[in-house]
Amino acid sequence: MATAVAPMRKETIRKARERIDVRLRPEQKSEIERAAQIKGLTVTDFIIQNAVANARQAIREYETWTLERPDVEIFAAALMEPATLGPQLAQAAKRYKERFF
Amino acid sequence: MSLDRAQDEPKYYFEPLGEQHDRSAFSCGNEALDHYFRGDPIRQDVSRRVTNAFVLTPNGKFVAGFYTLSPISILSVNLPRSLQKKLPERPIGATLIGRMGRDLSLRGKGVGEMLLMDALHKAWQASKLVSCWAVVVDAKEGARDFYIENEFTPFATQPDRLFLLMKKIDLIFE
Repeated sequence: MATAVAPMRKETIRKARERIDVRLRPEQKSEIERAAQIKGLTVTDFIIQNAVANARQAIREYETWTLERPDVEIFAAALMEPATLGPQLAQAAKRYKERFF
Repeated sequence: MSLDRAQDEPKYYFEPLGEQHDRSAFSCGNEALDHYFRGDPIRQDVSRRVTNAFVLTPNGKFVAGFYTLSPISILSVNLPRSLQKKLPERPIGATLIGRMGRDLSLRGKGVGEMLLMDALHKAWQASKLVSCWAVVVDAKEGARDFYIENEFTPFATQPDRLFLLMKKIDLIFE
């Protein structure tokens, strides 16, 4: 086990060369320090773990739209309605086809 | 209007964004969008296959407008019982118009409409190969009304996110 962990740590240390300087309010800093202590992490590890997890979630949310009610109902209602083309879109399509088809 | 096929008017056409296009001269007036298109971000996104980008041009150099297309998934959660049979509870595919802009010099010429229609046409063509339920858009400032005029439906909790079902786009191009 120890041999499996050691190279990973080494890898982490080797790659952790970048810096981000962040300014924050004293109360924010002490809250972070307290939370890191509770979780048994260094402040650096706590910040990195949370920021990376949040970044991944933001990217996932960007790539996947999660629909909950009432949005899912709006989407479902549109799916169940028969499709019709209103005048604006029909005209726009006509103009487009005249120019580009 | 300058996009008509009148005599002496250049004939505009769409093509994938390439190195030949003069990106640095482009300005749509939105700083973030201009930065994205004029700088490295769009080139990186295209080379990493994060997005495809298309431009409207009269000569292969000047960019009248551009738009980007990428795949996106729509996941419906906590479906009411009445909808459980109608919507799958796994992600469904959609095509995202990620960014769209036209050059300020062509304001009011109907360029936006042409960009949107071409994006819908390409999404429709792609839907014949890979299933796609809708074209969706995250409308940037001021663009929401444009999409509503063109029959996109906004979501309730995120009114700047709008969709147009592929079955409706089918009616345009079939």
